[in-house]
Amino acid sequence: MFQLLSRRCLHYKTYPSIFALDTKQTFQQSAKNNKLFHNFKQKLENGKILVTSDESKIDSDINSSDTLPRTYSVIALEKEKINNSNSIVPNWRKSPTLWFRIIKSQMKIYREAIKNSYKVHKKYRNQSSILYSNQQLLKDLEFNLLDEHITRTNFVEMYRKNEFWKLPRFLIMFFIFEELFLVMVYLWPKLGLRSALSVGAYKKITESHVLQENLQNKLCGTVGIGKNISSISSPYDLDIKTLKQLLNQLPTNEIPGWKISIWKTFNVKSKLANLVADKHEYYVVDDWLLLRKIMNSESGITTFSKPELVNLIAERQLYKKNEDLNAMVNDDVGQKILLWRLALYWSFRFDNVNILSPKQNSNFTNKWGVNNVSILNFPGTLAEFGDKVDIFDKSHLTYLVDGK
Amino acid sequence: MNKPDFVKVFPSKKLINRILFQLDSDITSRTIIPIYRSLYEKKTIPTKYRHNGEVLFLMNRVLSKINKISHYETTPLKEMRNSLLYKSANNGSNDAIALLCFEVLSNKDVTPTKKKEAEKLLRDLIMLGHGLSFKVVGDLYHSMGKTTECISWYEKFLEQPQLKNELKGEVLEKIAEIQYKEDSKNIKIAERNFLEVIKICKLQDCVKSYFYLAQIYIKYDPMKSKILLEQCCTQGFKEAFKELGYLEMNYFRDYGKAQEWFKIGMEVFEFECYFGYFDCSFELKQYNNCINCLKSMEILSKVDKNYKQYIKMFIANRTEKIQISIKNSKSENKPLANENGINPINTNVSGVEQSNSRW
Repeated sequence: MFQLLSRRCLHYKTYPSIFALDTKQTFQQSAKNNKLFHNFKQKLENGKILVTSDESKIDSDINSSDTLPRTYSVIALEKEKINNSNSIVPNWRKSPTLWFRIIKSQMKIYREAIKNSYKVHKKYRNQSSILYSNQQLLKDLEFNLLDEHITRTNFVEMYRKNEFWKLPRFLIMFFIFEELFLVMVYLWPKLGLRSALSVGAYKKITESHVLQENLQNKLCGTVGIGKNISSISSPYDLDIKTLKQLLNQLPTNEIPGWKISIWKTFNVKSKLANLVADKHEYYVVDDWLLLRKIMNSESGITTFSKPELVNLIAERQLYKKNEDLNAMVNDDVGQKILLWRLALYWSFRFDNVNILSPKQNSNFTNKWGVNNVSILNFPGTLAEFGDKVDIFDKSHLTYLVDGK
Repeated sequence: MNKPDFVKVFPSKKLINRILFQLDSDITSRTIIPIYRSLYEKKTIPTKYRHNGEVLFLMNRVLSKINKISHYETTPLKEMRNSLLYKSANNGSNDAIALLCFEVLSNKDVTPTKKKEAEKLLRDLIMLGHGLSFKVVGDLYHSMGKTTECISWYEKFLEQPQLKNELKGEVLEKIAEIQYKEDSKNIKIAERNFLEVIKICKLQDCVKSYFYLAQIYIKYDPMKSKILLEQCCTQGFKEAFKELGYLEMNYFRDYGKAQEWFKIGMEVFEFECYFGYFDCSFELKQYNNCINCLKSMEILSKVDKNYKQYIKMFIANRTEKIQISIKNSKSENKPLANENGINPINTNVSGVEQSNSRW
């Protein structure tokens, strides 16, 4: 079986570090020469990469939890509190108290969200966007000239600060539609503030961003899945319809759909292609900044907050349909799966890349080429002997144990 | 043999006026053109200006500018420029003395005595705090490959007050070029300097800065790089054609545009453009052009040994493509042969005959 895969791998000029999820043997064989994978394995097994909900323990230079939604359901939490045996609320008052508390918590969440979005906006109002542009940062990372003051938190907050501009629209719509606006936010959760999203609304959004199989095939099919084999796929290789589809699917895309549709109607391919290239660079920079922190951590321990881990997985589309990321992150096994998905994704992309002190022959663009979108949000794992993109799951956890 | 007429040799009055305006000069073309004419026809300078070193140096600079703009200099103009530099130096123009010293010191054929004299003069000018002399010393170190000393002298030059943008740009460009080539750690400083240069100088005076910036951005912002390379191409910067061609072909996948850039590159005999042109023509299914391109390469391989080696490697890598091209160019030619009565082409690449070949 492995022979078949390895034969195909010979054609994957840009896919040397792909992981095969077919059997334990194929997985271990494909991971054998991946140094970064073994590094991650060591770190994860020794508890050097942690996920916590304790605010005081998380690394402040990679997490920006205030700008992200909560991972727990307010309704479930309040229900648990009220149904607790220690609760002094009499039975007849439980239902109205519950709803009162839910509304109160929700209002608090919204107040916090508005406050945080203003705070982040104010913090980065006078910062040069050129300094934090993806191109500039990627260049600095590759030449090992990154400003020490720039952290992953700064980088993501530069993007998340744009949430502030949702506020005027949010308030205007609230005054126009009044109570109806709540129904509208329920139906179209993207109208609401990101950090105030409920668990259900977040799931709805992640469901809409599941990377469709046909799109995935179009992207990496040019390289991996034994179709049109070529070494590099620039965004200009994709047709305008695929570009539009891709941008509508990308969770990091902030350009509204109507604008993309206009560009597509008038056949302005360069706009769409440049946008895809920009998003590709965003992922590379984000990954690189995170990996620098993980590999360079003084204490040897990197701690993610739960919302940040969920966001990392959601942005990279490393989840399947019907999966609830918030439920997974609050469960030990689910958390392990999410961390391993990230580890495999990074091991695939950054194997043989000198993360801490890159040189001209060992940097990311040297490995993959300029804006090679065939690896855009590719999980790094294949199944069915290289014919299908698959995502690491609970059943694959046994593959990580050494031996047969 | 009679000399050609002055009007035929010398550029138009309009151009001279434009250059004088750029040089921010008080002297008009009405004053200097008769001096040029006298120098060209009678080999003498009118008495009024014979001892005016500043005017003579200005005339030298006008001729240098013409050379820079047209990228070409006729022998009479070159002779005139050299004679003006020499005369202005004799008449006390410090700038001219400094430039003359550079010419003497960088020329290997000059005797050591003259070199010592030039060194003494240059040292005196530096002691006087003459601005251009700092640049000249920097240039001399640059030609010797002593980059540290070169940069320190250039920096001294840049400290001079009221520097003209053109000279400042030229020096900054050289500093940035050294930083770019020396170490990748300096790339950020080099980038900043190149950006400063393109901000203060005209495109024609800083094409190199545009090109280097394009090189820096090519992996991270191909669109920006493309725009910069296009600017270089408008100035006929030879190296930019192949870069732009490959960028259009491999990243933007616009084979038509890439083919055009390669075509211009081929016209100035930029060797790599032939490879790019072949690939573009193949992608566009213009098999006749592929065959013509191969023929041109074969002719070119006789010129240089290195070319021969590269072509050998190219053919080894493109065997399949070449075979397809030969096969299809035959079928492309068939209807043409029937219409015009021309015989079908040979399978041998070198034997292919094209009636409409532009090579």
